[in-house]
Amino acid sequence: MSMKERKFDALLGIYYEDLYRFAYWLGKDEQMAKDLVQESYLRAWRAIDSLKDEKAAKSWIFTILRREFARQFEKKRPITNSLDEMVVEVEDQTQHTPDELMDINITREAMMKLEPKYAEPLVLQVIGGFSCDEIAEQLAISSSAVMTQLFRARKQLTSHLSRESKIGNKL
Amino acid sequence: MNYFEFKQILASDPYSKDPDFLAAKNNDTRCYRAYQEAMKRERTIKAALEIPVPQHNIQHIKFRQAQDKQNTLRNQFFAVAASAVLMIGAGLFFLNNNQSSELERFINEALMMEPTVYMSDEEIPHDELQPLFASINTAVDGDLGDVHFMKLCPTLNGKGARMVFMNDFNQPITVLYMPNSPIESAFDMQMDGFKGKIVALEQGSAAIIARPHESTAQIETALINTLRPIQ
Repeated sequence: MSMKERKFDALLGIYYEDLYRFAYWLGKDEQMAKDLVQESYLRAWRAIDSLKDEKAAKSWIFTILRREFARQFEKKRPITNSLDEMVVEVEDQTQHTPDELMDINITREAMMKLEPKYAEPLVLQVIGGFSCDEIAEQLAISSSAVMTQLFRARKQLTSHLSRESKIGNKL
Repeated sequence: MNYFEFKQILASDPYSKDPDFLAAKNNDTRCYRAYQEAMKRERTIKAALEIPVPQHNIQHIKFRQAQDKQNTLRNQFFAVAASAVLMIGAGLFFLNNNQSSELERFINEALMMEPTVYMSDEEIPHDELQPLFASINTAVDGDLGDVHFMKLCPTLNGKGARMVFMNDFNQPITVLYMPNSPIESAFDMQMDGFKGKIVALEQGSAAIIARPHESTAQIETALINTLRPIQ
């Protein structure tokens, strides 16, 4: 393995899972997520020498993926999976009670309906682990706008969860 | 920080590292209880977002990195050869599979009729492509991409074009443009060793044929966004 490959793996390889999940929730399509991650890693591979601040590697690769998504797919709206077609399993079902699994699935349904402007900062925060300031920088909006979007995202998810849970309890 | 200010931050940023927020969480019982409740919801959200990740995709990424290195050294002859192999393979595949649609049958025949690809070493300038497209009532509105071969040919309901594009990774991708064969929406053609997709365009459709690891998204987007009917 060359020096470049070692550097690349150490700096960026560790974000593969987070990036895939980010890509999935951006486009809500599995194939699109795979393509996006592949393209982003390849672009990062070609430009790795231009990354001066290694601490910024995570933010850098997420930004590449966001731009790649905008470049390739913004004009052509992704085909959003219908909820019935959504075959996404909970990673480790044994970690969750049946009630928790139901809540997780309801939350996923709500995520599929969540507008991108709300979904994107939420995934960056929860999956990417970015702070509000870092998200603001990535999205080129103010921190207060990020806070508002995160507030609305959570509100929509929790109200969907509470509504669906009530329906579920009635049955 | 009072309880209401705490709740406000909690509702949007439960992971906040703000010292006042952390102090309120640790020192105020009501705040701590609200925090516990919020984190319970957060665990559900996090579990919902943590979809399973396909690990085999990593191999594709590594393969493409290796390929990218090789691509800088690869000559056009390899591209031509690869393209020809692709065309023959795709043709054979189509021949051996029952095609359900008329359009797929046509693509099968078109690929079998002419399995050899002629390709120029250089990208064909767009101003040379324009008259060819114009002759099939098509305008190129924007950057179509890196076209190395284009030939007008008969298609299902009139004249169309066969093209070879090079994607960002110097991989030859075959495209069959069929301006007189509209489809309602894109569909995939599954095949062993190859991937095929017919995409809907503003005028007609286009079939994109490539090997599974080859990137076609960019070419697909370019076709959709740039090929327009001449009004």
